[in-house]
Amino acid sequence: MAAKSRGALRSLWIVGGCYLIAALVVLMRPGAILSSDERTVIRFSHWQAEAGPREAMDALIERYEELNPDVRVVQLDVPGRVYTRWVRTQLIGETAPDLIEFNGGSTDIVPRFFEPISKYVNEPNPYNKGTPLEGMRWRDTFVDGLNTPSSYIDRLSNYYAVTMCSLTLRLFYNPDLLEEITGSREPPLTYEDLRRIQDQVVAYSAREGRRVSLYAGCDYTGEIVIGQLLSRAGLGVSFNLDRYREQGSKAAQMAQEYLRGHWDYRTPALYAGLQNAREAVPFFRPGFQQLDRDAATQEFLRGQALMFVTGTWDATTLKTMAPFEVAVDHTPWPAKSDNSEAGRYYWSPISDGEANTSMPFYLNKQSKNKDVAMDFMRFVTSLEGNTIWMIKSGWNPSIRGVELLEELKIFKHRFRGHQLRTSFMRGFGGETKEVWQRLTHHLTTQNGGVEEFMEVFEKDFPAALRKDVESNVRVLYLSLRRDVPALVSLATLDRLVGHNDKEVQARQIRESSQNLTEAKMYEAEAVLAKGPAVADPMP
Amino acid sequence: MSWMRLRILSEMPRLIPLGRLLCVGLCGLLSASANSTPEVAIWEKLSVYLSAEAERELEQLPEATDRQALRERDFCAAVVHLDQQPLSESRLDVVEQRFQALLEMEDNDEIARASRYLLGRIAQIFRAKPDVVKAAKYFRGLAEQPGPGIWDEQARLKLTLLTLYVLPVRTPSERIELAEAYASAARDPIAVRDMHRLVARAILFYNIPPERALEHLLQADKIGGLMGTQAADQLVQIGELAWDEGKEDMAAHYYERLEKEYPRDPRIFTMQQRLAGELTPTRGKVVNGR
Repeated sequence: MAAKSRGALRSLWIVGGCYLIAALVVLMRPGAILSSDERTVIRFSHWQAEAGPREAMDALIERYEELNPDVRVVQLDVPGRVYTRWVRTQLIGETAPDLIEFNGGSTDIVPRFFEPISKYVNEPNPYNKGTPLEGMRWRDTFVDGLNTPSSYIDRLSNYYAVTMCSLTLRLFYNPDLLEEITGSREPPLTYEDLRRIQDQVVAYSAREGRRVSLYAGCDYTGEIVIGQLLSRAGLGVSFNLDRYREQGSKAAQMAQEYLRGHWDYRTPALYAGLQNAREAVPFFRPGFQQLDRDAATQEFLRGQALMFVTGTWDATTLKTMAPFEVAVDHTPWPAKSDNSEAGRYYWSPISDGEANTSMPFYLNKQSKNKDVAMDFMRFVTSLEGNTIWMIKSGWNPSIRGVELLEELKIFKHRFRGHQLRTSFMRGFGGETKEVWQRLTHHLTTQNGGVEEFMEVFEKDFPAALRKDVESNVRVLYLSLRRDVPALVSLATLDRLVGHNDKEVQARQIRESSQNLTEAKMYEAEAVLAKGPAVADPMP
Repeated sequence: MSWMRLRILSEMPRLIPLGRLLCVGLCGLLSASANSTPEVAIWEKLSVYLSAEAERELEQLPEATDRQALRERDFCAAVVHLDQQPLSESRLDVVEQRFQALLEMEDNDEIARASRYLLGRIAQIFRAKPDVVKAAKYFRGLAEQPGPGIWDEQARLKLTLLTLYVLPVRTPSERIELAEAYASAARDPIAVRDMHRLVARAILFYNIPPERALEHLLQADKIGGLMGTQAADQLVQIGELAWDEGKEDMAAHYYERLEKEYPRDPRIFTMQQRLAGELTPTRGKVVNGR
């Protein structure tokens, strides 16, 4: 009995001791209540779990702390799947980090929890002293001038975030395997080259008795390839219906043109896009649509797929994990200039689109060290900081004048080319996305085909598109309702405190933007009500 | 001397509350002179969409005393109330009553005019079933009656929008003509510019020959003042319309401006190709293309 109670007592001591040690560790952490480290602590969070960014951030922290010995920077990398929920919880609980990577400029999170940073970005970045960027406004040092929707939020007339990098879509391939299959390490330059390589891949698989696919396959890469083949074919269609003379209609406009009866997926260019998509199905392993991105990565890393079409955010992961050299090039797509049947409707070259920079970091309104946090952001987006970022992460920089590493030059944004303004596969809204997701297998399975797909797709798509347009109208009403008190407030402040010219201009820009939004909303309503008869006289 | 000191010391406890009172009064006076309209902080919150915070601060404001201060407070409270969630029909009824009450006291000062504008906006976009005829009545009234503030021009813009797309007008051409008449009545250059832009857009929406749209956009461009995407889009629109109308020099001029002002705009490429005689995508007849 006595021995039992002695044992219990000992366990209690051990548990109590562990608790005490844990408590001391927590309380003596730098910045905590018992810590003798009196440095200012700033924390930042992101969800970039890929290889590269975390290590790059560690290097940036090390250098920043060397330059600023009175500051300690803590990096929090939170898995992407829970990140948004985690950020919201932290913000509401007032325990969020000082700097937060965030996507969702259109939500109310930004005005509620994040601090406008216009005053910071309109000043020169002191860390650029002695460089060609010295004296330049901080925002002008970004390759896109920070004119990206995640940074400059129109409806709030303010800059809210600074960005770290720029991203593009590229073709990653295994040159050893390519040589084994084709006798050459040269990547395909045209779509016809790619198709020839596909034939060689099929022959190689049969000859060697082991399955190799041209492209690493999963739902994600399948969507990229089918989406691109379709949307690139649709470029001419969106230009043909460019009612507002903006060099191609955007998705919302194309949805209206559909309801006005001006195009559908039997329009020859789009039908050809679907045929090309069908022909591209054997580029992937069977059943690819049921697999996730990790499965495609594994397929590529195991040498079971020759190429991987993905964003440059996967570059470092692929290069560090592959037991072979990973080469990168532009993905070849069908082109009119090839004079092939596949390229008949495809304009080329196509640009990489609007060169918006990515990975935006916002300043937490509750931060007790706002100036220090922004100082850290100034450093990481200075010429020196962003160069460290590029070298360590393998991701392209967001700052002008950073000299690109030779192997990263291929990732550089291509401005020259026609612009894709509508994604014909996923661009119209949630309802049509769901139809695509549910029915694409009719296009991609062995027994499927373009007509098999069209037969089911044409039943569901029109109603889904209509719902998407209706939903867009509802969103516009909600957004206008949110804007009215804000704009009346700005006008009232003009009266009560007198705004300067710049502030008045900012209000006027928001009012102009609101008028345009209202016009678009009424156009959508009119098209929903009257369809092709929208321009007819009233009875 | 020591007697005096003793007396002061003995009086100290009684003097402390008096001193405190004086300090509080002085602080109050200073803050009142620094911010004579306590609603400013609330308006600032509303302007950045912090409606819940605005409501909390509004509840904490000291009571308004004189008639004008009370009017400012009532107007602010009505807008704060309009901005709260959930936005029910009964909430809108209450807000409407508040604006109506402000109008009954004085019907054409700046608060009254803003209230009339907001009554129009409630009918136009806040109600579950919009009443655009009622909204147009408020907007027309404001546009026709001179008064302080920006509200006549704002109302004229909304009237233009309703005329172009929603009010019962027989043909698209008549809609455009009526809207052009509103544009010619506007005085504020920014409002005039925006009306030109709206009319141009409606011309293209209704498939009316686009030459008139080009004229309106050129007028808008003369006024200027746009920034960012809207400004770049307008340069492209003028360039493309000019191209479709066979005015190639004008098209080239606007693309030169686009290249100079927005050198990263990816749309420069297509126009350069076109001007160099290369084959490029074209607009179809269905939208009156070239």
